[in-house]
Amino acid sequence: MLSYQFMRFAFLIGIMLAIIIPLIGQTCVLKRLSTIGDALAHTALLGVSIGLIANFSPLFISIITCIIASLIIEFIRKRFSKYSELSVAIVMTSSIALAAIFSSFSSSSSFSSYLFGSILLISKTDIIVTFIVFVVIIIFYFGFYHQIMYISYNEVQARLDGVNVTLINVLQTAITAIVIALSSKVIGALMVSSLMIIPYASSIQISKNYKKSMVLSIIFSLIAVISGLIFAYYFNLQPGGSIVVCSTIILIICMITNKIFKFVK
Amino acid sequence: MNNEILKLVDVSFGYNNDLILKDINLTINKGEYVGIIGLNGSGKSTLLKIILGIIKPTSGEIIKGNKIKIGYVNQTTMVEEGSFMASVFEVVSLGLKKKPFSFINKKEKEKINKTLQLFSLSEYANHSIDSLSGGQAQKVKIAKVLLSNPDIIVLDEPTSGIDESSEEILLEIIAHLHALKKTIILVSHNLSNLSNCDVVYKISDKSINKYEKEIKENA
Repeated sequence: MLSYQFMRFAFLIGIMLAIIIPLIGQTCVLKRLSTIGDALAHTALLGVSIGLIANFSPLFISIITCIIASLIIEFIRKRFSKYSELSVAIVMTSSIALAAIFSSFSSSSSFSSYLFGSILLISKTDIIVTFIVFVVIIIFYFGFYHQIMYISYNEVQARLDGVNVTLINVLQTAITAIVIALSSKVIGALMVSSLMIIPYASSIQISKNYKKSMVLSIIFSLIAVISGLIFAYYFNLQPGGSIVVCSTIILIICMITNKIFKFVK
Repeated sequence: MNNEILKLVDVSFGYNNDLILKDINLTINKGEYVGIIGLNGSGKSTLLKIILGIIKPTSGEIIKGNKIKIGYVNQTTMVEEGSFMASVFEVVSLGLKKKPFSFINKKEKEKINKTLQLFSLSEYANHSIDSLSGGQAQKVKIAKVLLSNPDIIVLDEPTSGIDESSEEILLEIIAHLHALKKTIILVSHNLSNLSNCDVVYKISDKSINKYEKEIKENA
């Protein structure tokens, strides 16, 4: 399996994404923005369709559209602070509408590969870009660990205690946008958001400690991506779908384990 | 004069022409235990937001030293914090002022453990915050604020939604903070919660006035 270059690339990029996606997922869930991944993934599709029409890197365009969309979400979220999910819904529906219009002008096969992901599409450039993003995100989440946790707990209190909430929120949404756009290629735009949420949902079945649930969600995500890619290779499946199904199986196992532990106690 | 820690001079706040607070004058002294009472919707929370700097007054002035740090304990709102998954230790640790790329060291760990001990929360250190009762969760919030070592501690209806026995314990804790020479601003709609206060102010009809307990009691 690893004798094929596309599989080596898939594992490399998959492992990097499996580590960073749950980091983003945890904060999105805690900030009650668990559907932000969905909205940005659809915006990524909009970028892909524009890129395909313009015959210019769909990945680059989708990163740009995702960043713009994430900033719009942050802007609307501030306007409707009590209904933060409203911002996600507005951006998602508008993006789907525009993506649908633009996709009619582009090749359907290229477009659909972004819907469900395709490991055959991964290039050396993608590996390099993902690696740079991976390093930046690890440094960001490691360096601002305390501040990010504080903002997830309570933005008002964090601000009162001198945390630069606006800057961290903007950086975080921009990072989320870039990761979603990158992941759309491998995992697929329709499924990337599930990798943001499911590993974290699995982890809180085991531990409700912030740090432990973060580590556990990375471990679960890694297991899901590696096993998902192996199944996809041997059974000729869509990698995105295979990864998400593996992730869901892990969630079911965690939920059952949780129930058993509660019953035994 | 030197004893003043916070002063509001002719502070007004409103939306468009609709004033919520009008010409508020309030002086809070160092180490004072101040109670603020008022009906729901009287403007108590607005006044707190002005004191905390969350909103700016429409007119008037807030005189406060640059280095005066205010700690804030909000009401128990499960909507806001109910989804936060962390241990009690982790929530209290948020009271530490951490710079980016710095992590909790041994000394700080000891400090957190001591604070937990002070609030009789040591046995819950590894428990999830969402598994605690309303009263205990409120104790965690106060512990977190105390750890940040503020000059003024502002508590907005800290006993709302919790049972009577927890309410008593919380009020004892707040009185203990006062004994530690902390300046306390306690907001409540229940006068009995303010019995330990040095001074009580009442907000009504957009203004604030000293609440004369004795007159009320005699009446």
